[in-house]
Amino acid sequence: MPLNQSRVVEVALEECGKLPERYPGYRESIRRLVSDVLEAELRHAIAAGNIQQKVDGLVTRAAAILAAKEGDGK
Amino acid sequence: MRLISAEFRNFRLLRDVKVCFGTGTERKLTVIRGANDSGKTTFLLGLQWVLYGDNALPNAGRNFRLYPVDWDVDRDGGQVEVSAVLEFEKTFRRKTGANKVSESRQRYRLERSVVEAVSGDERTRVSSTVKLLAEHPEGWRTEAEPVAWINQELPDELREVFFMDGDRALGFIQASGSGATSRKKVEDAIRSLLGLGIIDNALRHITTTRRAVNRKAKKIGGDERLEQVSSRLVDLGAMLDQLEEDKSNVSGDLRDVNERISELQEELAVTLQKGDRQDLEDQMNHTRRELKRVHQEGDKASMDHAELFCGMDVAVGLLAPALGPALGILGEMHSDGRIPSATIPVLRDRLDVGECICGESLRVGDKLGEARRSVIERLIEENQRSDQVGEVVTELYYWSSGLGDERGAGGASWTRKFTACAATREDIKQRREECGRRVRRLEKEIDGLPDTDVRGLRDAIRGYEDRQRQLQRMEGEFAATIELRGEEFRELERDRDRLLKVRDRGKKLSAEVDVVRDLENVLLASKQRMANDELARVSESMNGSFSRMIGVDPEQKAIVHRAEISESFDIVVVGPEGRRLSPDKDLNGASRRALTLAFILALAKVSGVKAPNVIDTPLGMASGYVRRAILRLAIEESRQLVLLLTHDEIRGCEDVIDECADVVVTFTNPAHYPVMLVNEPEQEVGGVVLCTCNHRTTCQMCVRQDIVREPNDD
Repeated sequence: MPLNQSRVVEVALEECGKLPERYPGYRESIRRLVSDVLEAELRHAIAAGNIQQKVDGLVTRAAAILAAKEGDGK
Repeated sequence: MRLISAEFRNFRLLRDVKVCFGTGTERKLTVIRGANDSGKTTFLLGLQWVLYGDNALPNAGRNFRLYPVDWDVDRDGGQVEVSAVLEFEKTFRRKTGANKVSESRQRYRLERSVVEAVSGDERTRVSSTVKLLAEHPEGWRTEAEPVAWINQELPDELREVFFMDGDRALGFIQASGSGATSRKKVEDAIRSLLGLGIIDNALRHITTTRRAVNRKAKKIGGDERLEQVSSRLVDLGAMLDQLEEDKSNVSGDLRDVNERISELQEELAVTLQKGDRQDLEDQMNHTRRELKRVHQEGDKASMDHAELFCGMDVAVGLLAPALGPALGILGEMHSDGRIPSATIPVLRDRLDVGECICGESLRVGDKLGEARRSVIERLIEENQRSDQVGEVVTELYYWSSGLGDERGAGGASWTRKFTACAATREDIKQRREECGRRVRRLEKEIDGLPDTDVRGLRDAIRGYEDRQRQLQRMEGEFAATIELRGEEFRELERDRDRLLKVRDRGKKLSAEVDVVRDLENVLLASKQRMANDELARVSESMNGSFSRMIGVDPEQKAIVHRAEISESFDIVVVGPEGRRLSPDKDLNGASRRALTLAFILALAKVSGVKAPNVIDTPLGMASGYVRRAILRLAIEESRQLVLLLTHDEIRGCEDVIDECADVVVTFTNPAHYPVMLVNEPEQEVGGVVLCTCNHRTTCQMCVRQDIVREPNDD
C-alpha cells in the first residue's frame, strides 16, 4: 500500500474498536467493511470503476448480516 | 521506491547523460557536484519530467523548450527526439503469517520520449510516449496505466516534497499577501502525504450511499410522521449535495486562484530579478524632475552672476584707483566751504529781513537800502548760474561719502561675491552632469529590460488576492451552512431511525442506516485523528530537525525557540516569551532553508513514504555548523538521498560526504571554457559532461579556474 495509506487503514481499524458491539462480531464485521471500502477506493484511484456501486454493495451486505443477527436476537 | 539510474538524451543541457545512483542502505547518499549552470537543476527537472510528464514543467510545459538550446538544425536535423529513462525498484511486503512478513523487490523502467520539431524560434510537439516496464525473469514486461501507477506511488502533488528545488521549496514558508498560498501548499502536502484523500473519497461515496438509504426509507411510507421526516431528509440531502457541490466549485476556483497567484508571483520574482521597470521609471521621473530643478537653479545663478557685473560693488572695485583722488578733491572743497553752496539762501534771507549781515539797512524806500538790495539781487543772479555746478558737486560729495567702506576693502566685497557665484554655478554644472549621467544610465537599464509589465503583474496579483479573499469567505459561508444543515439532517435521521425501529419493515433499512453511520463515524474519527495526531507528529519532527540544524539553544538566549505547524497549516516559528516570528521575515536565509528542509523531511518520516529525496542546492546560504548539521540531518532522515551540490556547498562537508556517500559524480558544462574551465573540452557538441570525479578530485575535463583549491584537494 503506497504512501501513508497503510497508516490510514491502521487508524480506521482502531476506530472500529470504539463502535457499539451490535451483535457479537459486529466490530470485526465493520473492520472488514472499512478495509474493503478503502481497498476499493485505492483500486479506483489506479483504475477508475463504478466505485459507488461497489460501496453500496458492501454496505448492503454488512447491513443484511446486522439485520439478520438482530432478528436472531429478538 | 529506490532510484537506480536516470538517463537523458537531448533534454535541454543533458544531451547524453546517465547517472547511476547509490543504492546502499548504509551509504545512502548520492552527490552530483556541479558549478552553477552545469545542469543540476535541469537534472532535477528531468527526473520530474520522466515521472510526471509536462505537468512537472514550468507552466505545465506551455512554451517550454525541451531540446538543447544550441541545437543545430542544419547539422542535427529539424526534429529532436528528447528522451529519458528512469530505472527504480520497489519493495513489496506481504504478510505470510502471524507476525511474519516477506519482502520482494521489483525493478521498473520508466521510459518517456517526445519529438519536437524545430524551426527558428518555433517548436512543436510532434509525438509523445510514456512506457512503464517491469522486470521479469523472461525480460521486461509492459505495465498498464503507467501514469496512474506513478501517481499512485508518488502523487503529483508530492513532487515538490521529494524533488526539492532549494529555492522553490521556500514557498512552503513564504506567504503571499494573505498567507493563503503557503498555507495551502503546506495543507496539500500534509493531506497527500498522510493519505487523507482516500478517506475523503470514501466519505463522499458513503454519503451518497446514505442518501440512497434515505430515499428507500421514504418509499417505505405508511407512517405519516416517518414519511414527513423521510421527505425532509431527502430534501435536506439534496440541499446538502448542492451545497457540497457549490463549496467544491468554490474550492476549485480557490485552488485555481492560488495557483495563478503563485505563477504570477513567480513571474514577478523572475522579472524583478532582472530589474524593476516601474522602480526604474520612477527613478527616471524623479531624476528628470531633479534635472529640471537644477536647470532652474542654473538660470537663477546666471542672472545673479550678470547682476553682479551691473552692481555698485563691481564698479567701485574696478574704479578704486581713480575714485581716491576724486573723493580727495571733493573733501577739500567741502573743507573750503565751497560745498555745500549756501550763498543764495543767506542773501535772500537778508533781503527778506531788510538788514545786511553787516548791520546796514536793506529796506525798501530807503535809498541806500534799495541800492544795497540791487547789489545783492545782482549777486544772487550771478550765484544762481555758478551754483548749478555746485549743486552737482555737492550731490556728488554726499553720494560718494558712502563709498568709503568699499574703497577701504579694496574691492574685496565684489570678488567674494564673484567667487561664491562661480562656485554655485560650478556646483550646479556638476549636479546637472550627474543628473544627465543618471538619466542615460536609467534609459539604458530600462531599454535592457524585458517588456514585462511589473505594475500590471502586481495589479493582477492584487486582483487575484481580492478574488482569493472573496472565495475564502464564500468557502467559509458554505462550510458554515453545511454544518448547520448537517446538524439538522443528523437530528432528523435520529428521529427517522427511532421511527424505523418500531416498524418491522424498516428493520433491514435500519440496519443499513446503522452500518452507514458507523462506517461514516469511523472514517470521520480516523480523518480527525490523522489530521490532529499526525499533524502534531509532523510538527514535532520538524521542530526536532530544525532545532538540530540551526543549533537552537533557548538557554543561551537564542532568538528561535521552536518551530511548529499550526492547526490552520501555517509553519510558524516561536521566539522568546512565546512570541510568534514570521519565517520569511524574521529568519535568515540559512534558517529558512533549514526550516523548509526540516518540514519536508518530517513529512516524509511521519508518512512512512518509502521514496528518495532529491534536493537541488539545499545548503545555499548556509555555512559552517548549520551547513554540516543540515547535511547530516538530511542523510539521517532520508531513505535515499540525492543531493545536487555546488563546489561551494561541498566545502567544509567533505568528511561527511566521505562517510556517507555511495556515489559522487561531477557535471561540467563545456561552455564554461575558457572563463571558468582550465582545459579546452574535447567534445565538439555542447551539453553537460559527466565524469566520475568526486568531491575531492578533479580531472582534465572538470578542473576549474574559479574554484580555489584547498590544501587537502588532490
